[in-house]
Amino acid sequence: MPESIGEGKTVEAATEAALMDLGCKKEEAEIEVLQEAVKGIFGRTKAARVKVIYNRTNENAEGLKKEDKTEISERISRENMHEASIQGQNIVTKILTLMGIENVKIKAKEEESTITLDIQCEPEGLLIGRQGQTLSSLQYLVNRVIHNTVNKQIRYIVDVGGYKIRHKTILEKMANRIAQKVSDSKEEEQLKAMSAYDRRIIHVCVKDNPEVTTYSLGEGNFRRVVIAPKDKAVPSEQ
Amino acid sequence: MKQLIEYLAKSLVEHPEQVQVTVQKNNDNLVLELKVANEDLGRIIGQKGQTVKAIRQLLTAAATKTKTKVSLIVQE
Repeated sequence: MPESIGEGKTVEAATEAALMDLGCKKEEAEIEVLQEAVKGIFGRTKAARVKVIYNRTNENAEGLKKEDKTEISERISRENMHEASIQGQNIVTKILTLMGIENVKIKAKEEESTITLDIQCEPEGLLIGRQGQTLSSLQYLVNRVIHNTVNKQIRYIVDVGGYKIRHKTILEKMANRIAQKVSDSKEEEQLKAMSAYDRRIIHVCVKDNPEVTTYSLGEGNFRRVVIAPKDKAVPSEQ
Repeated sequence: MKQLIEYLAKSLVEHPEQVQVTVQKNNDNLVLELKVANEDLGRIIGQKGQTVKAIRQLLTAAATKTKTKVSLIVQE
């Protein structure tokens, strides 16, 4: 622990000198008076001597430190997000270039724990693939590659020209239409087989509808959502 | 194609120096053979073959652009 001994005409002056030497505040230090100033005969004086020890465990000092730390870690995480976003963009660009797709522009959006990378390129269809299969493969590989190099709790969402948003609105429209149909006819209806991500969109979309309920049927690639009327669904599940 | 596989494989494994890709041409068909360290096989294949499936998907998309056929073999 750093310490310093200060000298001065009075105790205060000595303390100040020692604090200056350490470069810390009075609250952050322990002060020990070694020698009070003594007035001798014939105007000869003995200087006051004070020992100042910089004290980290001091309450005030600790409070200050903690605040600094949280501020710093917040700033770092924001910087990290930005860094991670650039890393993601680099990897996507690299993969696309190797696939022979040029003139790629990427719009990145940083959120709390996810980074959305929206790719703008020609032709879009090639990257989306049938039912978005190529796109989800790309997203999966980007996440795998990044998580192999750096261990971070960040998820990347890869999109091409806003495809996922378009796709979501289409699914929601369909879900609402079929939910209406089911609540009118009181007969349950099976949707086509969909990916987990797409099924979730349907479940979430229909969740607030008081007339119908949803569940999934089937295994693996054949798993599909069923929209059923609420009053009928209970006996059929038993 | 070869570089695409090399880049993906090297970024997925723990021993990038042991990644080897060889290319064979059968008429219009391009056959890529990928060799990695034994303990890295799982990383390339992934859970239920998910990773290798994704790699093949990207490979097919890239091949569609040049109108060729490509297949990927992971050597054990």
